[in-house]
This record gives sequence, structure tokens and C-alpha cells, in this order.
Amino acid sequence: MNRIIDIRPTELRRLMPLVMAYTLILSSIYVLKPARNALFLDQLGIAQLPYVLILVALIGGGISSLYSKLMGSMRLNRLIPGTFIALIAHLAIFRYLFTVSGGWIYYLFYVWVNLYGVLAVSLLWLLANAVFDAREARRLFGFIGTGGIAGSVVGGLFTGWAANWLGTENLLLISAGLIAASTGLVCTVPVGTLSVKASTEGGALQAVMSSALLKRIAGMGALVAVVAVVADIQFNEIVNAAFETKDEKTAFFGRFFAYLNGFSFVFQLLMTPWILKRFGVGCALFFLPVSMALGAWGVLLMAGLWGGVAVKVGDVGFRHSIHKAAIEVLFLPVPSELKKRSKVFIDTTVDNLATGLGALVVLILQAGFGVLYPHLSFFSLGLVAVWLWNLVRLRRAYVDAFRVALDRREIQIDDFRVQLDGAVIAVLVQALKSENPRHVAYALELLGTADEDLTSEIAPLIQHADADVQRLALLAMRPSLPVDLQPLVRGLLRDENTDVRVEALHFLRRQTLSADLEALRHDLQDGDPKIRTTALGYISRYGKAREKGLIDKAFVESVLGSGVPEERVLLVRVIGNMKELAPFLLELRRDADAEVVREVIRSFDYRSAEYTAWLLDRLAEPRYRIDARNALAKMGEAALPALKTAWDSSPRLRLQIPRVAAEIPVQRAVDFLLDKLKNASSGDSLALIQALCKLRVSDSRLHCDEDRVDRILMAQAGVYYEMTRLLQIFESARGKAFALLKQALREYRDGTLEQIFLLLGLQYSLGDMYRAYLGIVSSDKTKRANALEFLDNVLDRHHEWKAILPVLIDADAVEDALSYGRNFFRDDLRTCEDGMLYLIDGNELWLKACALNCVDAGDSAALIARVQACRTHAHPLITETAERVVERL
Amino acid sequence: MLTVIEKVMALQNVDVFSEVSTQHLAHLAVIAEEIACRTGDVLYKEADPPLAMYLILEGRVRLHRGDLDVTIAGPNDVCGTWALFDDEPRVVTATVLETSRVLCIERDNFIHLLADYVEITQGVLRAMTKHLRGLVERVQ
Repeated sequence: MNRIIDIRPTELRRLMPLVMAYTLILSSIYVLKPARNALFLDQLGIAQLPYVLILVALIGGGISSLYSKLMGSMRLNRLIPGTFIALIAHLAIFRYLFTVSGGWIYYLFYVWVNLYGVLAVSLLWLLANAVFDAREARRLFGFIGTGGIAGSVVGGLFTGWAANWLGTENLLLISAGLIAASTGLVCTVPVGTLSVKASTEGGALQAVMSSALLKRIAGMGALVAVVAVVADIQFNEIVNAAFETKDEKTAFFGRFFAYLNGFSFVFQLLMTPWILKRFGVGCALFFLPVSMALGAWGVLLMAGLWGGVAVKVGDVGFRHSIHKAAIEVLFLPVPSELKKRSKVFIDTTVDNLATGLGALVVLILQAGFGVLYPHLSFFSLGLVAVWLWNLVRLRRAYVDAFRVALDRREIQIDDFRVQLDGAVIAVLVQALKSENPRHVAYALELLGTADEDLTSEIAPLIQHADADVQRLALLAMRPSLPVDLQPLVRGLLRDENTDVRVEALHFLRRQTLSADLEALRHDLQDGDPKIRTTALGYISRYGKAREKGLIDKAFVESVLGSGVPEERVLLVRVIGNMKELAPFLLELRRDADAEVVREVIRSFDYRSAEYTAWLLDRLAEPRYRIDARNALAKMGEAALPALKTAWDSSPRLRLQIPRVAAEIPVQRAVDFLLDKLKNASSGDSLALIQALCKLRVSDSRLHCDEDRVDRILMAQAGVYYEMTRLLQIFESARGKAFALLKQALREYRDGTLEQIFLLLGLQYSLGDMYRAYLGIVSSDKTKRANALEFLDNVLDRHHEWKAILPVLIDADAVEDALSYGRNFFRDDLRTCEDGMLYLIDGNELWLKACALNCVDAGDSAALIARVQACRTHAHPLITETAERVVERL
Repeated sequence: MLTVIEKVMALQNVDVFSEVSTQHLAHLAVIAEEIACRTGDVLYKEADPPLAMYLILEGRVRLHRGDLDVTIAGPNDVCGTWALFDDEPRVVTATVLETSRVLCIERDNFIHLLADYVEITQGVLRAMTKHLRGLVERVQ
């Protein structure tokens, strides 16, 4: 029962006035509707009924459309009381006109009551939407609906009892009193900042058409109204045929609606909140169409009154209970302004127009084609089929709308391409005069791709103070250099910067179209290291096989003995993939200069077990790490056996190994990571999961075994639950040591949450899960609620624990989370001592150390014994902490 | 000497580490060296290259430019934080005023640690962003 009736103290102030107001409004509607029917039939006769339904569509639709526009410019906390007061005044005027006017006023009253019923209900749901977020709505909207059903039962009973002695016309004044009381209650609902003035841009229809979700909701609203009209006419005809006298018919109507409203009330009270909470809005929306389809079949298959009962059960039993509550939930991801402009339009204009259209179709089918009332069911069944198809699309649109709502926090950065037309080139040439060398370098890079010859504009930059600008200028220039600038370029062959010298040499060789090998050979053997490195750099960057052929063993040996690290770096770059010189590279691995070793890692393309092991060792050294990782990744699948071995034998590499595997997009890498994830510690598991996510993004064909991921997710959800439970246990513990422990637990719990979402990203869209995660950890309660609602709709429910995941991680309902989690995870932690023993006995070193640090002299013998035992622990963090605690004791 | 846990408790007071998780502060604690200082000891001089950051555990340290006092730092105050992040020379001299104990984090060790634990980098960046955001809000 506790799970069914789930109201929190903080919600009472908002909920109770709304429930009471909704009860009173529905009471007033069920006072007015019988009065309206009785007055209409008494004054105008039953033959006029289809025509007034069409009039409802024409007038009601127009008026509600105007009202929708008015709503856009008013505050919610003024709009609702203002409207209700106007409605009270209307009732008083109608009461007066009944005493002085003729038939037209009954037409008008019929239309007005229809409009009032839809408008008042819609306004109250609009208010409910404004004061409750998605999660609250799911729990509480059912109760508001229940109040409404109770109101309709009480209103109907009261009318039956009071009509004879008060007079039908005077019931209008009773109804006005009920609306007045409801107005007072509505004014006490704290609307807060949600009552901000909305802009009036765009009409209601435009608002509906701008949203896929709203279009689907409106479409479904129209289908509901048409099917309901058909069912209503079938029901009336059956009852009319079944009973001879007016009194018998009235008695049947009274009993039928009383029982059905009673059923609806019980269903709304006990089932609607549970169904919405447990199965979600998608399931709740199926009740009405399925029941109405069954009713339509009932009319076809069952003769007499039972067919009539069947066709009306769905409409009365579910339309204003579970269906209404589910529709309200559907509106939650719609932006508030859009919702404000469209909701009343859908509830009134669409409903009215569809009702009128339904009445018109029935008139045509019966009068024009002679269709008998049971056969109208075929028409209904066709519409229900369309309705069910629309529901599937509607659920997708609902999830998409949540995705968009989550997306709104992201900044979109547009990509742009630079088109080098005349205007752009002029801007870039201007940028070459910038004082900022980075601007100049960027402009040079772009100008280097232009078709035009810009040598005269670029040439002055070869004397620029910045070496990078000089290098890029040489690269961007065409070989047709003015003669007076050639000595300048030759001078750059003596520049301090090797890159500039190399580009200068490259430029001069391009200009003279020289392929003179002898000149290069001469430079390589020059006594000046500058000239040697220039030639070597040129060969490494631009050299073809002929030029590389100049590098032989004798030359390599001379460089190894030269003592110039830069020369060795360039040498490695040249001989990296020359197999005949590989032994020299093995020697260069042990070079004293880190840059030389880095270059060996980058350039060497020689695969052997010994070399792979050497690369793995380099992973442990921060200065070589990135290059070693790239080199191993370049080996691809061949590196995986070594990575597996290293995972088991070198714990210090465990942070790095997943990062390497993440760069090898093959199925075996995925399987390896999943395999290690099974028994990984919290620190290792994050790196493993991140690597899996990266692999999945890089190649969507890679497959993560669903069952294995599910098992790991289950374990992580269990850890999350345990951390939440431990935090609750330690909540009242005081002191610096416990403050640190609680902080560590919170961090550990938050880290686990991140891992849960990353794991979900392996099964669902990673982007969606990332956005949901950002929503969950947001400080904004609405964003948190939206993210949870999104999860609820996205996660499949084949696994029960996955269905409760949104409850488990709901930071706004920790008690619920613990209560639900108890059914799935360990529940033997009760006291502070239980918690500390659990952490000290656990494998998470940091939590173990923090828990140990909390032990003091007053603690139990079991805890003191644990501290003593930890003095001989393998990890220094634990032994050091235990020793300190023993000193303190 | 302080244990790792005790150093973590001390490092929690450093602004720039306020967004680093305690588990990762433990890695920082391992490279943080506890140093005992006597009156008159100089932690660093004006124009020195930035080599380390100091967190004062006990005692007082005078930060000055020549004879001009800039401030007196006490327990839980930090001297030379920016040494961890940039290459600019020291702008003040730090002289120990009384027998003190400080935690010293050397820049090279810190940089290596950042390379190993991206979470520490993220925490430091978060703290700095928070600080910047606070400044912007104050200006606005």
C-alpha cells in the first residue's frame, strides 16, 4: 500500500488544494451535464442532438482557439482564477436568461457546458503540470485524477437527489458555488516562478505543428473523440431500444454510471499510479483503445443491453482516469511555453472538432447509407487500429522529446569551411600583417592551399622573427621567387632552427628542380652539424628511395658517434622502416636522450615479442607513454596477447592497457576488456569501461555481449546501493575521520554512477546516456526528474533490476531507493560497526584506509582486531594507517 | 610524520585541489613531502624558478619583496601554488618566521602525476573554472 500511495510531506501543500479543486470542478461538471441534457431534451427534443454536437464543434473550436491566444499573454496564477470567476458570472447570466428567453438559449447553454467541461479540466491540469516535475507527476497525477472521479460520482449523486426539490435551473447556482470554492483553492497553490509571462509568438496550431510529440497527442485526441462519439450513439440507441419508459431509462443510466464511476474510482486510486510508476506511460496509453476495441466487438457479438454496456465501459472506465493521467505525463517534456499555447487547443478545439466530425460521420453513415448501429463498430475498429499505430509512434516521439529536452543544455558549435575566394584571400593576406605570430601562421597554412600565386605577399615573411612563420612561408611560396630574394633563402640554410633550414633547402631544390644526389651526400658528410642535420632532415621529410639510399651503415655509425642528439633523432626518422638498419634502432632504444628514444618508438616498425615487451615497459614512463601507446595500437590485434599478459603480471600498467586496447577496434579487444571487467577494482573498471565505450563509438559493428554487460551492470548497481546504504548508516557519525570517510563514499558512489551510465552506453545510445547522466548529476531538480523519466522510457524492462534503476539512482528519493534496492541487493548492513567492518574487510583500498582511520578506543573488539590484522597488510597505505590507529589507541 | 590519510585531510584545504576526489588526493599525498623548517629558512626567493608548492601545516611564513611584506601565511595557507602550473619566476620571497612544518609538492612530480591520473587534471581544471566563474559573477 505504501508503494501505491506515495505522497511526500513537501508535496502536500501543492497537491491537496489541487486534488480538492479538481474534485469540486468535476462535481460541478456532473451537476451541469444532466441539467444541460434535461433542459435540451425537454425544450428541443432528441432529434436536435446531432446538430448541437456539430454546433459544439463549430462554436467551441473557435472560442477555445481565441482563448488559447489569450492564455499566451497571461500569468498562470491570474489566468485560472480569472477564468473561473468569468465562468461563475456566465452561470448567473444563464440562470437569469432561462426565465426570459426561448429555444436559442438552450442551444447556447449546451455548447457552453461542453466548453466549460473541457476548459476547466484543462486549466487545472495545466496548473498541475506547472507545479510538479516529471517524477512527481508520475506518482501524483493519479491522485488528482482520483479526486476528479470522486467529484463526478458525488456530483452525479447530488444531482439525482437534488434535482426534484431544487429545480433543474437552480442547479446552475450550486455549480457556481462549487466553482467559487475551487477558485479559492487554486489561489493557494504555490505556482512560483513557473507563472512567468509567456510570449505570444505563434498560434496554438503553429505550436502543435512545431512538435512531433504534440502532433501525435493531438492526433490521438481526435481519434479518442471520434471513437467516443460513435460509442455514445451506439450506447444511447441500445438503451433506448432496451427500455420503454423514460423512468426506466433514467434509472438504468443512474445505476450504470454510478457502478462504472465506482470502478473507475477504485481503478484510479489503486491501479493508475502503480501502472504509471511500474510500467510507464507507454503501457498506460493502451488501456483506452484496447477497451474500446473490445467494446466495439461486444456490440457486434452480443445482442441487447450487454453490447451497450460493453461499448461504454472503456469510455467511462478509462478515458478520464488512466488515459487522462497518461496524457498529462506525455506533456511533460514539452517546453513550458509551447505547452501553454497548445494544451488547451488540443483539449478543446481538437476535441470539439473531432466530436463534431464524429457526429457528422455517424449522421452520414446512418442517414445516407443506412448503416445500422451495430455495424458502426467496424468504423470504430478501423479508427482504433490507426490509434494503436499512432501510439507506437507517439511513444517514440515522447522519448525523442525528452532527448531534445536534455540536449538543450548543450552548446552547438557549427562547423565551417573556409572557401578561398577573392574576399577570403584578401582577409588572409591582411592577417599576414598581424603582430600575433599564431594568426600569421594560421593565415599562411590556409593560403598554402590557394590556387593563386601569392609569393610576393608571402615572401617578406621568410625574415619573420618567428621560426614557424618562416617555415610556413617557405612552404606556401611558389618556386618563382624574385631573384633579389634568393640570397635571403640561401641565408636561411644557416638559420638556428632546423625546420627552417630544411624548408629552405627544400625550397631551393624545388626552385632549381635539382635531384643532385652528390650535393646531398656532400652535405651529409660536412663537418658542420648544422649542414648535416639540414640534409638529414630534408631526407627524412622529403627524401625518396634514391635519397634514402645515401644513408648506409658507415653513415649511421658516424652519426651514433657524433654526440648531437638532434642528428640521432633525424636519423631514426629516416631509418625507422629500413629493415637492414634495424639493429641500429635496437641500439638507439637505449639512447640517453629521451627525444631519441621517443623517435625510436614513433618510427620503428619492427615487430617482435622482445620489442613489444620493451614498448609495454615504456607505458609505465610518463615521458614515453603516449608514443608507446600509439606504437602498440599501431601493432593492432598482434598486441593483444602481450596486453593480456601484462594485465595479469603488471598491475602498474592497468590504467594504461585499456587505453591501448581502445585504439585497436577489433572484436577481440572488446572481448578482452569485457573479460577483465568482470573482476576489476573500481579504479581499473572505469578505464576498462571507458575503453569499451571508445571502441563502440569507433566501430558500431563491435559487439558487447548483452548478458555480460548486464551482469556487470547488476554488480555496479549493487555497489551504488551499498554506498547509498553506507552513507545513510554513517549519516550521524561525527569527526574529521568520518567526514573523510563519508566524502570518500560519496565520491565512490558518484564514480559508480558514472560507470553505470557508461555501461548503459554500451547497450543504448552513448550520447543519450551521457546526456541523461548530465541530467542526473545536475543541481537542477527538473533536469534530474526529466533525465530519470527519460531513462524509465528508454531502458527495457526485461530485467527487473534495470526497471528499478531509475528509482535506485533518484537522489530526491533516497528512502525509496533503499527500500527498492533491498529486494535486489545485500541488506545486512545495519549499524556503523557493520559498515566499518564491511569496508575494512573489502578490497577497495582507499575506502578500507578511510574506514580504518575511523576506529578509536571505544570501538568493538572485532574492529580493534581488524586494525591489528591490517598492520601486516601488503599495501603500505593500509599498514601505515593501521599503525597510526594503533598508536592512537 | 603524517600518514597519507592525514596529508589528504590537509590537502583538502588547498583551493586548487578542492575538486579533486579524496582517492586522487591520496596520490598527491604520496608525492607531498613533509618538511620541518627553522626560523629564517627561505623556502624560495624572488625571481627563483618555480619548483614547488608549499602547504603550511604548522608555524608562519612571511611572503615579502625585499623589505616590503606582502602577507604572513599561517596553518592551511598555501605558498607558490602557481609554481605547479607556469614557468614564471617567483614574485616574492618566502621566509619562515618560526619553527614550522610544511608539505611540499614538487612541480615535476606533480606534472608526472597529472600524466598518470587525468582525474586530478579534471579536478584542478574544475576548481579553476569555478574560481573564474566566481570572479566573472562578481564583476557582473
